[in-house]
Amino acid sequence: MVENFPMLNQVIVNTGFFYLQIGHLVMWLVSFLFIYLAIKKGFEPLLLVPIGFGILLANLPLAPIMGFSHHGGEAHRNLIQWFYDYGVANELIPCLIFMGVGALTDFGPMIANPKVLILGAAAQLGVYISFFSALLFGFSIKEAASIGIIGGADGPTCIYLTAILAPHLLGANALAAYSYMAMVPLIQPPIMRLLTTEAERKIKMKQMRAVSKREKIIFPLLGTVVICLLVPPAAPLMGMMFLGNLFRESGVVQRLSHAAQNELLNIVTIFLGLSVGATMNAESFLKPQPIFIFILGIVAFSMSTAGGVLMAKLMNLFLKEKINPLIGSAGVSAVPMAARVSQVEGQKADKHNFLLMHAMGPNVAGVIGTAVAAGLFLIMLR
Amino acid sequence: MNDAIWSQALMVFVGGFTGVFLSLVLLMLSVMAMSIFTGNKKPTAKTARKEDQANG
Repeated sequence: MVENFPMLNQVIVNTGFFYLQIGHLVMWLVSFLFIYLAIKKGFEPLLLVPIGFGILLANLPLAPIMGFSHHGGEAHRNLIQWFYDYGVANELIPCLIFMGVGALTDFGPMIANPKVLILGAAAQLGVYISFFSALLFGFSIKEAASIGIIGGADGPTCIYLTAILAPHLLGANALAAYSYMAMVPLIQPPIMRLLTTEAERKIKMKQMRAVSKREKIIFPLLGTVVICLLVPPAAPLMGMMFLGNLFRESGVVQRLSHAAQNELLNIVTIFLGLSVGATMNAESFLKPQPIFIFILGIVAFSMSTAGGVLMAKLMNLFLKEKINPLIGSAGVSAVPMAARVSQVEGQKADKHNFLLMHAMGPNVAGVIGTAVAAGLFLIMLR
Repeated sequence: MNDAIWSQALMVFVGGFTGVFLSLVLLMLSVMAMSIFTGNKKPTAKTARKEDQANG
């Protein structure tokens, strides 16, 4: 009967149902899992909701979401392909996110105790260990660098580096980075307890000095000059972050600071989440590679946590005023969750110990450290 | 993996990790200097004593 109505026939054979494969259904489950984790468990909801929905959209057969459609012999970008090409592939969105991060960040704890910058450097250990491990898993050197940076626990930096060095791994890397960032409260505490003694966890740190407004205004200018001269490829990320921070600290451009922290950050987060999710179609994602990336991601996070804690213990051998090694783990970025983990673990050892502000120092130092590590990868591998 | 890739990987590892440390140590020293020049961080006790002696 349908053959008598060619138009109806055409409509039916052009529905996505005819082209559904088992891989699409598996990806739907992955999408639903991330949306469930975001809504029910509160795991990074700002990112996992758009990423999860992007995965769903990208796995609807025939839907013009990613890639190109051909009309009249000409190729036209599909909806999310626009976001991807202009926002992610050309590194625009991660840099704009960094502007928002800068506008949200108070560098005061780090300025008050600049020694914690060393913890931020040590917590990049996981980046380099997972870089080596990825090579052993058979990844190319550029792919290994993009996987290693997951250990920095900094989503925009991970996306920035992966989009340049290994764009085909973008979906898996971003998802691993954000998933593990959401799981920081589960991953870090056992490692922190394993590497520290009860007495070390009870160390009380002296209250930090007040940081003047002048210092807070000079810091983003100083940071831009020092970091961008040392590692020029990190300039797009660092420059935007310090600009956002200058908006915040100058106190004279509150509208810009507010826009960077809110409207701009929220808009680019939507585009980023959708674009990253939409790169994860069944054909590219259902392979052994993403599984290896998830394994290497947890190695990276664990090693970075250990690196920060061990460096704090090492520094204590030389410092007169001891630092609590629990704040070392906050060097993995994941602001401010990693700092909160230090606070919680510190209070488990001594409920009168308040480490949160002390841990914010290595936490923001870790953001700088990861961007520098990404810049150095670009210098050596691009 | 061949030797060339291993040696490149080793270079990236050593160069990268050292580079991160040096960059952040330099930033640390810059922040310390900034705090001293802006007069927000008092010099160490030892330096202060020397300054007192110099001032008579």
